Amino acid sequence: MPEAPNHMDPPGERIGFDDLTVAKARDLVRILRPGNLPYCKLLECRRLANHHQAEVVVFEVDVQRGQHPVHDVKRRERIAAVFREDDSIAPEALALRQDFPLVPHVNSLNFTFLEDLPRSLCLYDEPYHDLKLTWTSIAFVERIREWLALNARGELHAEDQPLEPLLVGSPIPLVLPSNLFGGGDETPEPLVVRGVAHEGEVRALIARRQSDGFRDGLGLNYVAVSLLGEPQEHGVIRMTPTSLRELRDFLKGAGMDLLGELRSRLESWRISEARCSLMGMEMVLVVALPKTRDPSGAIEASDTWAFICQETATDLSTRLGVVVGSDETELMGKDVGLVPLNVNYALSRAKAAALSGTTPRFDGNIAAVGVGALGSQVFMNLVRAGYGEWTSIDPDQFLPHNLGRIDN
Amino acid sequence: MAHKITFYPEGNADTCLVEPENGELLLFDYADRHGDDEVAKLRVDLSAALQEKLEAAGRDGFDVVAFTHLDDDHIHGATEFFHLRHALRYQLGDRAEIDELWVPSAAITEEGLKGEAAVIRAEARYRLREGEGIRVFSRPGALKDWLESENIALEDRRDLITDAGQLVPRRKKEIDGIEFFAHSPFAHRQNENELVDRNRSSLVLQATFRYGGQDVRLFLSDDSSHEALADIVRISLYHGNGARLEWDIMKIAHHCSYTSLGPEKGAEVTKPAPEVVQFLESFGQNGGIFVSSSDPIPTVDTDQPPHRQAANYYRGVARELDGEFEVTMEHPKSSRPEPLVIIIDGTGASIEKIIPAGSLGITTSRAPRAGRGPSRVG
Repeated sequence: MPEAPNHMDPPGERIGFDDLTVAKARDLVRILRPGNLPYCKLLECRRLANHHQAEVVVFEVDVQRGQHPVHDVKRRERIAAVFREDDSIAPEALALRQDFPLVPHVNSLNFTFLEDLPRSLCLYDEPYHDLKLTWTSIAFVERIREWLALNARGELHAEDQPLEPLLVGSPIPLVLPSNLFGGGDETPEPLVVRGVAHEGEVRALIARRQSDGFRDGLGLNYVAVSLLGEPQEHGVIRMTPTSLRELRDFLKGAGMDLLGELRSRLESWRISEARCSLMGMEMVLVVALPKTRDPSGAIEASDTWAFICQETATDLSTRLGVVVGSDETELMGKDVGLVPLNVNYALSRAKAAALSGTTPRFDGNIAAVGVGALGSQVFMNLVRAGYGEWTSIDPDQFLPHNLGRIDN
Repeated sequence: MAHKITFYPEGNADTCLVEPENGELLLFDYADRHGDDEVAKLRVDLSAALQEKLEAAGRDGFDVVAFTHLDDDHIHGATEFFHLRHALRYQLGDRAEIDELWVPSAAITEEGLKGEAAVIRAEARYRLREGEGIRVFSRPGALKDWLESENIALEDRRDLITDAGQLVPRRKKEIDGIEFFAHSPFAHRQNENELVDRNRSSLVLQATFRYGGQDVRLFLSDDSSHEALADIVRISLYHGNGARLEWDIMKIAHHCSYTSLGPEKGAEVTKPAPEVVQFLESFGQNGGIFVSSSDPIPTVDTDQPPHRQAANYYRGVARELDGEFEVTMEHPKSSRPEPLVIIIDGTGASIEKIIPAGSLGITTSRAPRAGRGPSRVG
C-alpha cells in the first residue's frame, strides 16, 4: 500500500479561523468552509509573529491526476497559503508534503523561511501590483489546483512559452562591450568597470575595454574570462551561485570542470609575457549556457551570466595550486565570493539594425549636410537604426530654437 | 484529443456515455431518474444533458446504445428519449436515433415484461427480425427457438450475435482506439436456468481504450451478483483470457451492493468471495478508479444498496491501488452532484476535477514565467 504522506509543519502559531485579521486570508477561509467549494478542505490557520507579519491558511486540494503522472504530484496535496499583513507581495503557496518533488515553476526559495523547503509554487507571471487588481481567493485556489494538475502531466511549461532561465535572475545588470571575446573564447579581455548609481544605490554596472575606457578615467580594472558550457535541458530554476564552489557545482550540470578550466587559463597567463600583467586584476567570469527544450532537442536559446570574482587572478592561482604546480582539484582554503550579474551587451551598429529590422544592413558612408531641425531628426533616427557610417556637416551654432519640434 | 467516459448521477441507476477519440458516441444504459421532488431534483436531467451532447457533436443519435438488462434502473425514460423503429408512436418529436442496439438475448426471449421493458423488447425483436441495427449477446442457440418461431434461419442472423468470450466485431483498438470484449451473458448459466434471471443473463463488457500505445480498460460489470462475477473470473481464466479481466476503471456492480462482493454483508467491511478478491485486487491496475453509480454511501446500515460495508471494501482496494473511489451522487459533493467525467490520455485515466461554473472568478491559464514569484528571488 502506498504510504500516507508526511507533511511539514506549517509556519507560525496556530490560531482560530475567526482570529484572522488579513482580509485575503479571511476571504480564503470563507470560501474554503465546508459545503462551498468541491475539491478543497480547510484544515487550520496560523499567524507568523516574527518580522514577516503574516497569516497562514492551511488547506488540502484535490488534483486531477492520471494513473501515470510525469511528476510525482499526489491526487491530494496540502498547501499553506501565506498572506502578508501589508499585502506587499503576492500570497504565497507552499506545498507542505515533505517529499514534494522539485518540479518546474517552483521558486528556488520560499519567502517565509528563505529556504527551498517547503516548496514554493510559482503561480503567477504578472507583477503583484498588476495581479492585485484581479486577485480573488477562488482564482487563487483554482490556480494552485491547475498548477498541480499541469505539473503532474509535465505540461506546466507550455510548448509555446520561452525556455526557463537556468538560474534565478540577479537584479543588477552588467553591460558588456558588444564584441567582447571577438578574439576567441580563450582570449582574456581587460575591462574597466564602473557603477551607475541612483539615489546612492548601484543600479547597473558598465564595462568597457581598457583601450576604450571612460572619458573621466574613472572605473575599476577587471579581466573578463569567457566560459562556455555544454547544452542542457531547461526546467528547474536553480539558485544563483554566490561563491566559486557553488558555481563549480552548478556548472557540473553543464559538463564543465570550472576549477580545472580556471587553473589552465591562469597557468597560461602566468607564463605569457603579454598576459602576466592580468594577474593582478580581479576577474569577471562570463558564462554562456546553451539550453534545449528536451533531452534530445536542439539548442533553442542560451543564458549568459557574469560573476565578479572577489579575488585577484594571482590569489586565485595560489588557491588553485597553479603557483606550486600541483594538480589539486579542490580550491584551497575558504570559498571565494561571487557577485552574480545579468549580462547585457552594449548596442552595436549590427544589433541596432537587427532591433530596428533594417536588414540587410547598410554600412556605406553617408554625409549629412545640415543637421538642423529636420536633418538632425533623420540623422539621429538612422544612426539609432544602425544604418550607415555617418559624417555630419553643419557650421551653425546650437541655439535654443534648434530644440523646437512639431511632431506632425 | 482524449477518450472520455461520463457517468451520470441518477441515484441508484446507470447511465454511462463513452466517447472514444474517434468521435463515436456509445451509451451504456439510460435511466433518467431526474424529477421535481427533494431527492430526484439532485439527479441530472439526463434527456437534456444527452440532447446537449448530441447538439454539440452535431449528431442526431448514438452509434451504439446498449441496454445491459431491462430493469427499470437501466432503461427508465428510454422510450421517451429514443427514436424506436418498431412503432410510429416512438418516432414523434425530437428523438435520438440508435444506429446499433446492443442487448442480451433475454431482451428478446424473456416473457412477461411490462412497461418500458416490453417496448424495448419489441424494438429489439423488430430489429432482429429486420436483420439490422442490432447486436444480441448470447450463445447463438439461446435464440434458436425464437428465431424458428419467426421463421428465420439462425444462420441468417449469426453475424448479429456475439457470444461471451469474444471480441465484439467492428471495433479494434489498433484502428478505432477502442474495442469491447463480451464476458456475459454466458452459456452454461442459461442452460441451467430454466427461469431467466435478468441480472445473471445481463450484459457484462470490458472496453479497452488505446491511447499513445497504452491501454486503459473499463469494466462495465452491471448488476452482477458475486456468483456471476466469480463465474466470469473462472471462465475467463479457464479460457486463458486473464487479460480480459484487467481493469483501470471499474463500474461497481449493482450500486455498491454487498451482494456483488460476497454472501455476507459483514459488520464493517464486506468480505468478498475469493474470485471477486482476485478480480478486484489482482486485476485492478495501479491508479484504478472505482465508480459506484449510486446514492451517497450511508453512514448507517441499510437494506437497499449502497451498503457502507461494501463501500469500505472498495475504498480499501482503491487505497492499495493508489486509486480512487467515487460515488456518482457524491461527486463532486452530495449537495450538488455533477456528471463524473473520466479522461483517458497519455497519463492514463483521470477523473476530471473542475469546479462547476458559477463559482469561478478569473483565472489565468498561462503558466507563470519563473523568476517573478512572491519573493524577490522567486
